[in-house]
Amino acid sequence: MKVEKLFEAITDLDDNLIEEARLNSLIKQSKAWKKWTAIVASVALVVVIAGSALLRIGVLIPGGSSGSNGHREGSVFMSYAGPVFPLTLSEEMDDLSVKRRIDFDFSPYEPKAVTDSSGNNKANNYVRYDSEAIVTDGYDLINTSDNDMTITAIYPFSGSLQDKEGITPVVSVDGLKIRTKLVAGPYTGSFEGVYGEDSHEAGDTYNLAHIESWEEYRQLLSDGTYMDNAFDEFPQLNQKVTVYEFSESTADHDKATNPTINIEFKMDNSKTKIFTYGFNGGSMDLNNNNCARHFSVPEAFNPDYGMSRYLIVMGDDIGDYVLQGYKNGGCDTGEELEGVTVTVDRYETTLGEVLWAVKKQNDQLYANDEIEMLNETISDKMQYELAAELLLDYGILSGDSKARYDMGILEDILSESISMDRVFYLSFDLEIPVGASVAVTMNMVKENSFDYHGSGSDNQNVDGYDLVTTLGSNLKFIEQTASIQDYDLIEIVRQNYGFDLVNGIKSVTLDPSNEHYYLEIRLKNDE
Amino acid sequence: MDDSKIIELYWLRDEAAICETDKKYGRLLHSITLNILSKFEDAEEIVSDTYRKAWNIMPPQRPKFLSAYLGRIARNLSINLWQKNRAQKRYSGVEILISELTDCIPLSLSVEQEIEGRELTETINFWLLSIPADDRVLFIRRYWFGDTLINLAAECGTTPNKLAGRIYRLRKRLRKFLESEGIFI
Repeated sequence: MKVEKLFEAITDLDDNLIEEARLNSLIKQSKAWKKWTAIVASVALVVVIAGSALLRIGVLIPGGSSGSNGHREGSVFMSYAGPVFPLTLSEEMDDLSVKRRIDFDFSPYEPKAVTDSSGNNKANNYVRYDSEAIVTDGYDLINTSDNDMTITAIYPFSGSLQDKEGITPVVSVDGLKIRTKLVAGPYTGSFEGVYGEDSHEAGDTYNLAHIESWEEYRQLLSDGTYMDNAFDEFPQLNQKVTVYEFSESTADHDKATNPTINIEFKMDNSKTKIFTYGFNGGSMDLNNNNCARHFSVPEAFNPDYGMSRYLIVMGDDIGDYVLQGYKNGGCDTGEELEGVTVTVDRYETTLGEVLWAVKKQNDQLYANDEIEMLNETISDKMQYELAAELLLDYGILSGDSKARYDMGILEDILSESISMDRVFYLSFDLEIPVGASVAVTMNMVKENSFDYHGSGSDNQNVDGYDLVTTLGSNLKFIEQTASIQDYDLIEIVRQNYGFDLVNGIKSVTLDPSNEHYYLEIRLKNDE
Repeated sequence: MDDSKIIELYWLRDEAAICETDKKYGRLLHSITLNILSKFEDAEEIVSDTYRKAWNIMPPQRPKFLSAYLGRIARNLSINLWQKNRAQKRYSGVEILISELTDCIPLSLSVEQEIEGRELTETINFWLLSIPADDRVLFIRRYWFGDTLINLAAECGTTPNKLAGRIYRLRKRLRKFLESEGIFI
């Protein structure tokens, strides 16, 4: 059985990773100290802190998601996929009438037989179910003015860069697919403490708090500033920085389990900001301005072997520093290791230049088909700009910096800018002759909202699909209708559309003054 | 006692090796086996078998990390016992873990050669190295050590539901990664 094979493969995971997980438990944050480990390829020991003045930095960040059902209009799901949004225009047009037709096609719920007929196994058959709907969001745009009309239409959808490939709508005009311009908005969620929304600790913003309901999207999008921000130029990172680039590190790995290079230096936190790439941990003594960062010396078989590490200083330079080898990431006195070497190059550049350099290195380090696919659909420049935007919005340069990023770890910024939820916009130009109409259709896969398996929720196996009728749109709708194609596969658990599958009512007229429609379904006989 | 000293006791054929192993890692091994088998008696038996097996293979072996080495033995023995007894006994621990891991199985209709177990392990190793350290620790704590959601959530100060969401996203990421690598399990 496939999953058993996976379970057994996990048994043989690398010893270093097992040891890392054993030594680095998920730690509650306390007011007294923070701790940071980000171990790559080998084991680093978490260091015990002595003395209240010493502030250890870093976080193992517990995750966050949402609550369960019990909502004024439909359920609040633990994983919320966001609603289907309406089309809008770059500028409001008085003489444009719009009819909207949305269709939910649940054919993906059809069980799929998958046959494993590979060489050394006898043929096995599996059944796979997909919990997603094919949504067709269609519009008739009718020019009622006395002139030809040229408009820029904008279609929003929610997701992340890493999901984008599967969820981006295909736009057609009068039946022909057209090219569109993609624009990405900033992170849509907020931040919360390690105790979730119940966290009472000031400044505790270690976790992402994703949007959990359509009302939160209403709050975000209704005044138009989010979309304006999305279409704004990205910020430049022209800040001057001094870079310490560490390369060609060597150590005798037979002498220690995890040879580590530690750099110690002085810095005034009010005058200097530090960013790093490729470092595994560090410490900071705020009272004495003593600061340290360290990284494990990789072996030839490690993916990061030969990779440069960067200590990036903004503001006052760090001045003299001390390099010392240690037997492990604890970097404790008595654990020094001789014979550890590294080349350090110091140069000045801009934060933007160095962020671009580490992004390219990061892509190379984690090169795989997924990254290549992402690079094919989202330009390098846009990925870089979204990382820069995150750095400026919530990183240590921001006036609203979040604890999640307060260590200046650029890997976190790069990876999070790809995985975090945002609203995307597809924009395209249309010409509508006087008295004519144009049919615009967005066809997309819409992921389900759901409660997690094993959560004990009453809503397990229930999938939610939300729709908003007018949110963020400046169109004048004269009609909105909705239809459903159920293929006798699903049953409706909750809704406010008025569908009645039993009696064959599969097409209904919507009331645009009702902002939100919800549809909650499940596979038949899947309670 | 230091791992190297415990291993030295094995090599000296000193039975204190078992006692020292139990003192240092007994609780961890019980936890791994109990998280898979959910039956105390069976877990006890597996831990004893783990010590016996360790005694038989040291020497000649000298593991780098004794905890991972012993844990792997215990985990393998637990999986074997589960597979042997699953028709008669219901082991809820492993069944929950297995059920969750179905989210990671990539879809493939190809007739390419099925990936070997060792290669699959290497691919997961590589994926784990590509994700943030805290996510890596969480994944391994859940699916290698078998730690319960309740315990993990309590440890990091969140609710089991919230943690379940985070782990679900990790499983989904692994599936996407395996698919992107063209892995067919």
